[in-house]
Amino acid sequence: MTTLLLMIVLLPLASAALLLVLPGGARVARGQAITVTGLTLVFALALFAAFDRTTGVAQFCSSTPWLQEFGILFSFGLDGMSLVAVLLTALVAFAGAWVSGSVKSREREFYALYLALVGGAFGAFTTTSVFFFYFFAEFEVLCSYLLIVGWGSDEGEATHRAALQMTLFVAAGAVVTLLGFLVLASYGGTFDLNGLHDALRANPIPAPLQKTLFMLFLAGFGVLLSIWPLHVWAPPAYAAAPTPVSMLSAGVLKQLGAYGLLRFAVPLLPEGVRWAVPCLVVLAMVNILYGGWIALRQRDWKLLISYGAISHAGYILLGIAALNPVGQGGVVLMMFAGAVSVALLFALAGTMEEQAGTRDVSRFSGLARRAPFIGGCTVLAALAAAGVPGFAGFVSEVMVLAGAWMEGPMIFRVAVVVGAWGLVLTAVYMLGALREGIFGPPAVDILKVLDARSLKSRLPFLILLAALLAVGLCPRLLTDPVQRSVESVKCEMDKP
Amino acid sequence: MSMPSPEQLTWFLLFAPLVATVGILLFTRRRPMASAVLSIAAVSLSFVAAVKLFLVVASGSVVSIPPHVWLAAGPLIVEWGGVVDRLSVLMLLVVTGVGTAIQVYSVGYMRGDSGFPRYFALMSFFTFSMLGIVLAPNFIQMFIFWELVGVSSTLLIGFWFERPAAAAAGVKAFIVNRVGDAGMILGILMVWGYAGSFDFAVLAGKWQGLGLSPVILAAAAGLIFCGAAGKSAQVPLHVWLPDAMEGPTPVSALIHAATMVAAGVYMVCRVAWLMAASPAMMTVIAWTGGLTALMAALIAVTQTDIKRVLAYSTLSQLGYMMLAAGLGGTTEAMFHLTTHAFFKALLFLAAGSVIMALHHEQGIWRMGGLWKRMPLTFIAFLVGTLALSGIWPFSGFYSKDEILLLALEHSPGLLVIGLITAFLTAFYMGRILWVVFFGEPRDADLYGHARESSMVITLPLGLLAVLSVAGGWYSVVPHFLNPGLVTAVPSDKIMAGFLAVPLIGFLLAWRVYGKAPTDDAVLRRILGPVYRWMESKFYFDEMYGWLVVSVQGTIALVCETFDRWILRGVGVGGISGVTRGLGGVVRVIQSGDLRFYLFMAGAGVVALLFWWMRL
Repeated sequence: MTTLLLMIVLLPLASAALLLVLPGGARVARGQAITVTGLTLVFALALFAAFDRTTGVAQFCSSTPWLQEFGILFSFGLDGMSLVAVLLTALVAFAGAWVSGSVKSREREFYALYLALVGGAFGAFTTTSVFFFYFFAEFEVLCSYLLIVGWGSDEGEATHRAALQMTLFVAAGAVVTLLGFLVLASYGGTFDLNGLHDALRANPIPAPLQKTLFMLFLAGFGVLLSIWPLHVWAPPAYAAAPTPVSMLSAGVLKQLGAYGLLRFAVPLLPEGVRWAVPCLVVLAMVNILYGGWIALRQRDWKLLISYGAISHAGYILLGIAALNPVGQGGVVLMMFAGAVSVALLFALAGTMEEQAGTRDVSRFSGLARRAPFIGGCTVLAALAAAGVPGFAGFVSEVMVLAGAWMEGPMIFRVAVVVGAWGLVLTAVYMLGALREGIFGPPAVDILKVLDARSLKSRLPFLILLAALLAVGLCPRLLTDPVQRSVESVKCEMDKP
Repeated sequence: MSMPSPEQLTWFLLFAPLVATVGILLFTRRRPMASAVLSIAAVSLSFVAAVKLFLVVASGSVVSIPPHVWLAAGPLIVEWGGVVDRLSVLMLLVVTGVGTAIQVYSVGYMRGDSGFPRYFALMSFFTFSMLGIVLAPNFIQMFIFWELVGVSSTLLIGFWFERPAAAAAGVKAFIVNRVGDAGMILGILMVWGYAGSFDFAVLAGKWQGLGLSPVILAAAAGLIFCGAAGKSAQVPLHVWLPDAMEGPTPVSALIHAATMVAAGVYMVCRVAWLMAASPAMMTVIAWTGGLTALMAALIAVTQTDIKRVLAYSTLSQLGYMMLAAGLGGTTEAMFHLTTHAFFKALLFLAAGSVIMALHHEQGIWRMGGLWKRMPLTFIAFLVGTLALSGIWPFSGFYSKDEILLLALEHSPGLLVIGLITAFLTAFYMGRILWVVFFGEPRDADLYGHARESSMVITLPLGLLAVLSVAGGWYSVVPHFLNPGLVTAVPSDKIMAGFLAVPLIGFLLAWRVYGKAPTDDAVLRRILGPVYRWMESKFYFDEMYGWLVVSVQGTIALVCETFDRWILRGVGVGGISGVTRGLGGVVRVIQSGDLRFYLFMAGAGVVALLFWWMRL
């Protein structure tokens, strides 16, 4: 199993390198991407099956000295939180590779970068070394940037502007995060996460510095998580990206921000996070409402989904701010639900766009009759995103809101009310889009849309839907392993 | 073969319709009749199971499924179980019994529709969700099914989704219900926050003993009541129900008359301990019900679409139920819920029979004289009308009188409202009866083609007609719900008074509509501007339209403008300007040269190590 965990990181990276070196056509490249991501999905499920649910500590750990004189180990391990992150990455990556058929230029480079992006995500989610986390995270950002610039779907100008905005924000975020990590590492004397834990507990960072560091991490990871006002780069970039890349960046890359906050900033800087709670709650409310309101006005499927995702990021922040296992468990579940449902929505919007050449919601009026499968999936995906029970999103929302309610201060009560109102907003923009874009009298453009008729073309959608349903119906599949992990984080925090 | 245990029966009853849904979706999507058979078999088997459970419960025991932990996160523990007591078994019978009749009827009504299998899949899914609400032993489980009922209702209202009005009505229903549900989930979290449990049985035992302040008790009850107000379409969340008539008529009969809209009343009865803990909130509930009853009856008088009249009548009757629940009359509320399910389903199905005969014409001013053409449908509609108006010895008489007696005992104001509503009910039903079935045909062409419906339609009508007549006799339902109940026999004077009110209503309707008019001119002249208010449904839709478009829309517009021009324009422009000033980095980054990026990535790592060595 330890080998499997290493394999899940190294296989996509190695295969990416192979793609660049070895000759082969587009079909081979795509076939390789599907095979490799399929294998990682199998690995992820195997890890999930083998995972010991009774403990919160990292499992399947391995550690190879790499640059020992700097205290850098090539070390990996899996706890509940990373297990969920690995699962969501594997699901989205596989579905993304499967729907990537529309990529029609420089395929080998595309799939190489795609696999590198996937490998980078696995690496960032499983490493227990701060150094490698930073390395993989930046690597991933770089890959998705290149994929957007090189294969973006919008006409040149818009794609370039979107990519430029993304670079500016993400690079600034990276600098800030790097600064934070360097200070942390110099205080703890190591880059190893467990080492840092012990060192910082024995010898805590002074409170004022903790506050500064937390704000640095909030800004750095906030760019990825698209916290207001650092979100501006995200919707145009997601909209411009080719479908599989939208799925991975809006699904997985975004969750990297949540993961970073929950994995590093919260446990390592207990003083800092406690100080920042009011700020987090206010930002959470802003994200929920602001994202929701803007989504109300979007007539472009991908922009609508993107702003919806910004609204969802607010719930993630709220759960992080709650600083209790219920809220934080809810965040991890919401990472999963958000990633999978956003990926599903992007996959569907991408399928429509590729065939009809437009993303305008109203141009797809009446799609449910013309393409019952795509239409039906869009209805289910919209319901899942709107937090309807039966899908994973509902459980995560209840957990986050319950976690926030458990906290005493009045501001949390207000935030829970805002969160409940956010559920109404989500219903308004999601169902509004369905009314205009799936139901209604048939529009001309839907004639260009062919339904997914074979099981082969339906598979990616079915897999993502099945994942949402499985977790929504049996939430303990994920909450049990996650709960142990977040509780152990909590214990760390409670120790004086 | 051994008899299945009550627990197994409960599971079977709940999941049989779900199995039918899945079966239709997977296997019989192309075979309409097989889909219908599957769906009807499931709901009728559920009905049989419900009858067996009824016998078990009637013998004095409560069936409860041992709970499993569904979700456990620290103090947040949600269990999954089921409870069949007197309250829920009554509801199970109504849902599966009326549901069976309506699904059989649907075979006739939906014949030839291209979405026939989808229709039955959704009907079965609705039945499953509704049974889930009934069986739920805790708040979260109830909420889960509560929302699923909302989803299936949305999809059934928008069943003919290519019609913009139908799609819009479905979405409107979902959103209005979501507003109520947002309040409900807040209330649920609040109750959990203070009492540490979601379980009805646990909460019922300790809620009053927690020593919470009246404000908190009222807030918790009020928030949870929001959910009930959404589902049961109480003012001001009633606006979705009339629009919901865009769905197929059997859907209106099952979901928007007999069962789903009754869920709010059922829930208030289920958590009566929570509501009773706050007398202030009880008053609010009772008056909300009263207001809904009166207002909807006033609007019903002016509607010209036969289904919309029935829809407002449903609102009005739901108001009665809520009024009773607010006065602490759980038994009375459930009694009226049961009889209403019979006669309102009957009325909708009879109306559906008329609509079908007239080739989907729903305007009453194009009907007339139909009793000769459709005698069976006419008798069914007449029975439904008499029951709804509360004429002795029809079922509605008994259940409505119980509510009026309750009001007489507790609140003179609500009694007056109840009586006025009873008068209006008889008046608008009399209007429909005279305009649609008597007088001269107003559209000779439509009339000429009108034929009595087939057996598959009239048989369910007959069944429901029998129940609508006899459903109230001997007060079987109240005595079953509350075995210790002592029915106080009211004085003859009061009974005569209660009976006189609807009779006056009928008389007046006959005076106004008995001479085969062609429109509502008489009433319009007499009532003047009041009529316009009633006709415009008291401008609720306009008010919401204003709120959504002007308030929410403006906020959204401001946010978007801010996002696009201030944040993106100024923010991004500022940063990139600075960067450009620092040495044209942007131009290099924009060049898209892969080697450059790889170099940058490498340089970043080197810089990191360098930094580290310096320390």
